[in-house]
Amino acid sequence: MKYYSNSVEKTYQIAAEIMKRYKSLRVFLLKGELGGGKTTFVKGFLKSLGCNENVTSPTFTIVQEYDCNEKIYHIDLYRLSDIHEAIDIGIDEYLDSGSYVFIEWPEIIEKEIDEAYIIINFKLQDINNRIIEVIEIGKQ
Amino acid sequence: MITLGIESSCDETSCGILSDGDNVLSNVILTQEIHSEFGGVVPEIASREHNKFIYEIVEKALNNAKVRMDDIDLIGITNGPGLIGALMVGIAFAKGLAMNYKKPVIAVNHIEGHILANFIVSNIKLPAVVMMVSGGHTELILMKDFGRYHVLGRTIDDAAGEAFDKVARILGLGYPGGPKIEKLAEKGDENYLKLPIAIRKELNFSFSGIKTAVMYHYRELSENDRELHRADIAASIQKTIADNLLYKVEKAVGTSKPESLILSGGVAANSYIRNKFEKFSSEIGVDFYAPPLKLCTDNGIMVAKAAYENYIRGTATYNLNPVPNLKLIEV
Repeated sequence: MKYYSNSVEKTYQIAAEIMKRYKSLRVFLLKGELGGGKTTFVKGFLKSLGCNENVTSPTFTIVQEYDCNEKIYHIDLYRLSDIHEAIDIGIDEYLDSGSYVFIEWPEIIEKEIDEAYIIINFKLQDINNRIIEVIEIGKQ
Repeated sequence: MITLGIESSCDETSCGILSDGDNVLSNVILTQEIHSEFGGVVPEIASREHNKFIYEIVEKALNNAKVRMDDIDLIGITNGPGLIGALMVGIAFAKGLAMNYKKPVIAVNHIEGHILANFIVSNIKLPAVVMMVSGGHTELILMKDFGRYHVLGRTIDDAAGEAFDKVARILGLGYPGGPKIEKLAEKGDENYLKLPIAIRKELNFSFSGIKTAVMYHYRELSENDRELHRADIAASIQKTIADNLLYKVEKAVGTSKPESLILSGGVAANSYIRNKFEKFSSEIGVDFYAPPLKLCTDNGIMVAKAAYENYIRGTATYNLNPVPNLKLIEV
């Protein structure tokens, strides 16, 4: 399923829509190049929950944790070199927690995820236009 | 009074020992020690593994300071914000030390540590406007007094240091990107790419548009032009980040009328930004402070300083639970 966004607001709306469609899932892998709108997507989802937390990029902090009605973890594995480091930061506990977990740059752990998940792909077409594509390949 | 501070909130493991509020006895930072001291080659990127070295780091800090655990009066430990696992390693270690040697141990907010790092080396008149900028944080703070902070603005997406790194990634410069952009920018034309001040009306910051703009621009360039303009892009981005920071700082200074302006965090190591801040401060007649380079990045001595100040003022936090999303308490 493909969605097209030409603004931050549109990405928020798409996030709300996708999250509603997959409301039974808790694990979401966010893939795609820099500037694709991955953090904006998570921001949009929190907004759709009526949650006012300031969503910022997890690239440096690795994990951003938000307290909405339930916990939401936004993780970026870019700075980690392999799965051992991911385990070291407690990726298993986050995945097992039953809370919403969004993972950017998930490639190093992707094959080992036991939980059902979907991949959301972000593509920057030009400076204002992005394609957001949902790929269902999780072990259901 | 001697305070031992331990920092292990994310990438770095460090221990610093401070006598009273201003005498640094030692400040051992793992990534700076690892190659010479422990023989192993630990890639920068795998630095969270460094938590395994916490014992050696604390031992070395004690040795360098020429003190023993019995001489320590107070232990400070970062309890957030940071990675839960990394925080827990430090907290467990600090608790163990405290129990074994019967010393008080108090929790320190990582952000407050970065702010107070400046007060180790300078007598700073308050109130101060503090621009705390690093890879993970971008916070504009009004510091009315020790322990009395008001967050005026923060990033709503990427941190300033992250903008440096992501542009470096696009330009293929490698990690960490900050120093590489700064070096490359020396030969570049900073007016090559003109990017706006984001969210002008607020004191919050937005840096995510920078990487998108660079990404898009760079993609359209031929291989030849990329080579030709890489330094220009680096210089333009550095200028854009500095301008964005200063624009909001100027606003904050205008309304808060502080005595001093403080730049802190890892990005404070960037001399272009430092110089711009310094120039601005002298123009408006406000004292300017930025920490010595060794105190810019995460370190143990800033934790010791924050622990000491809170302890003597009776504002210490004894609850040592790790809080990954710990906020600065606003008073």
